[in-house]
Amino acid sequence: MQLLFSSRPSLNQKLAFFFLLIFGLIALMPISAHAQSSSDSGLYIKITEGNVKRSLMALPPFQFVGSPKTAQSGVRVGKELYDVFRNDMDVSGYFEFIKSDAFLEDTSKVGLKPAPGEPGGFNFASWKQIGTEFLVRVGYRVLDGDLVVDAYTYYVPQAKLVLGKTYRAKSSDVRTVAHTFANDLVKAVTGQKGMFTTKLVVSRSTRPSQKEIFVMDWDGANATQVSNHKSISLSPTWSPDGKSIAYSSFAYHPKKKSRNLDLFTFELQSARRYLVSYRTGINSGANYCPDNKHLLLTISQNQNPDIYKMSIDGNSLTRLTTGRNGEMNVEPAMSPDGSKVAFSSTRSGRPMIYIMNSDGTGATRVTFAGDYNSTPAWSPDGKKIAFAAMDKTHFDIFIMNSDGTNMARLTSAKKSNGKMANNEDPSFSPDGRHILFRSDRTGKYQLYLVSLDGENEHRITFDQHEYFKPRWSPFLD
Amino acid sequence: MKTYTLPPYSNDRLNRAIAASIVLHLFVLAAFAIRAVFLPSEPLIFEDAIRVDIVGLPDKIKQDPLTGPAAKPQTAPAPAPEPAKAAEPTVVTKPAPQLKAPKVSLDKSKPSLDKAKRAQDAAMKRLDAIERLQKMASVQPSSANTNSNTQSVSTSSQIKGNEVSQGNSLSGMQRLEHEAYIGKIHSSIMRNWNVPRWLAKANLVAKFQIYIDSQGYVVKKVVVLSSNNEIFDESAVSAIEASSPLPPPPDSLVAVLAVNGVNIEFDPHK
Repeated sequence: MQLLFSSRPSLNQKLAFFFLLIFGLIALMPISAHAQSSSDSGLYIKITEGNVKRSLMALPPFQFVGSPKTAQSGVRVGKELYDVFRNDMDVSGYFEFIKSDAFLEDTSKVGLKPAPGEPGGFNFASWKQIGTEFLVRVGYRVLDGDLVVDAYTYYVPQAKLVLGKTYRAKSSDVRTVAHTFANDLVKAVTGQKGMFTTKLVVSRSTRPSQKEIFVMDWDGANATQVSNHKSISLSPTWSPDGKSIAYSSFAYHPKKKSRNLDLFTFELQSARRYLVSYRTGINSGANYCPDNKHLLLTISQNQNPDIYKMSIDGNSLTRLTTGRNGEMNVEPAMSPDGSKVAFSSTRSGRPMIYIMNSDGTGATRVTFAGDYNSTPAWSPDGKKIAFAAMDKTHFDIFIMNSDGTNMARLTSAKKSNGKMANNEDPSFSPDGRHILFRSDRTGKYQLYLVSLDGENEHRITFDQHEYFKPRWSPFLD
Repeated sequence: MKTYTLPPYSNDRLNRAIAASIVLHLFVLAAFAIRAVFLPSEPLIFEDAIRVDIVGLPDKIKQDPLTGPAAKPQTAPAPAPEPAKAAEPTVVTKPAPQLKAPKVSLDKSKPSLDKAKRAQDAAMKRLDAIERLQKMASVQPSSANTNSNTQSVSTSSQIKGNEVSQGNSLSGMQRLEHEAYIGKIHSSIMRNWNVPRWLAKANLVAKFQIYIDSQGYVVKKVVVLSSNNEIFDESAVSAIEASSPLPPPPDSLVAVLAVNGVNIEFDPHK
């Protein structure tokens, strides 16, 4: 310091020097942290989607292992078992099949279990070589009129048994056996419940001017007529436990000498039928509430078709919508948790989808596009609503979030005359993965299903009947 | 009358003050010059502001994951470090002295200024060389991995701007390079990740830490969080392996990628 100042530094000078020193040091510090800074945030990447693909399944023909005496009938049963199961696996959307001419092993010459543990068993390597992920080996025989099925499903990349089970049932119940096996396989692989033992209820034309209610397997088989009013019966629906159905029919009222659209319920097991609501006008569009004690329906006794909540015996009635001046509020659908009701209303001029609370308050409009939006259906998790919307000349099935956002079209088909086909009346499967609907693309209204992403359409009925308002049952087991 | 004469004004104190002031000024100047030479901070980017509009993209449009937001560092012929040229709209990729120093040319200061200038020239040459190497590296075409036997079912809408990034304290060119490269890793792994449909909705999450060398090869994979499902973990590992070699990382990331690695989380949700 003596060099800088010719005399002893005063206090001011000392302070000045001190501050300048500090300032100089600060000037040397970098203003921003660089290259090392990326480590304080930590490099982080989140991958939220990949290529979702089906797994390769090898499904060689099922092996008849019964006595040669029962061979002829047994093989017929076995073929039906195979066809039903294969169809179930195809529609599940999880698997795609390896062509049988790619198989390296002749499965009729090897056992159902793998070598070397099983003498004469099959070879995992020969399946691994062709890229198999799931291998299904089934052997069946007929024993005293009963069908006995041994089914083994393997995950080939890990040479692991995924499901090994034996099924026994009457030979006439072969389809149920196949569906049960399909459910078990889907459950073992994905952890989710399979829908293959569920049923559909639908209104089907019987004579040119008559429609009756039918119940059938999800794949269209075993169609059973459950109403016989010799009239027009429609809008069937399932109770939450799957034990009853409700439907409407134009029943004859002898006193009035006229027909009225009355509401019936029918117990499937006991075949008991109940007339629940016969108020003048419309008693239709029934939809059970999750508590299985009430149902929603459209009643028009007070001129306007409005939505009511009614006890199952038909006595207690609560009005939920109050339409005026010819306004129609129809097609109620209760959300799976029972808190909201979706319905179709003409209060804005054209039929649009609305959602209100289960007590009738707070109705808000959720669709704004299209000329005619109707038949809302909730997904089992309550997150999505499917509905039919008229797009100028034809109806298509659409799906949206339950708040109206994220709308997507699921169907688009042409008839043979080049015009666009109608796709209507959507209903979700109980596992939420498929939507059932009817389409006139072949000329007559037949039943179809489609997966939630709009791919994988599958035709269910192959006949000359016309179908109306199909509904998928809940899980029945 | 007695005349009162002031004592002759002594210039001594003034001179001392001036000398002290000059020395302290030089000290400050030297401090900044040293900082500019030995601790280069982020070069300022003098570019037009970029206008960004956020719009919602419609559904079902599949974006090609091959091209990420690749920003190539622009180079301009570097003029001499003249502080007055701040308004030039070119990207200056060499350290420019941060302060607009008054053009004080004193004989005493010349040797130190020359030294600073020489050091700056050396730094400039170094950066030019690095740029040239980077240019060579980025010309390499990113290989398109065509998995033709799997169908990419992309149902989630590809709206950008829906996710907020982690953010970091980088800025300018480094940040652009950094983010571009992270995007390349992301799209490469996503493209190569095949999930069987029966696992897609199983709520499985797997996390890995991967280390990438300067050539872009994934040299090490560490399981941070297993999904407890062998098949799911395997699909993630296959995706990482199929993505290697990635494009070579930019200089600013080489050290981080080799030492700290990147955390990759696999979480399919729709």
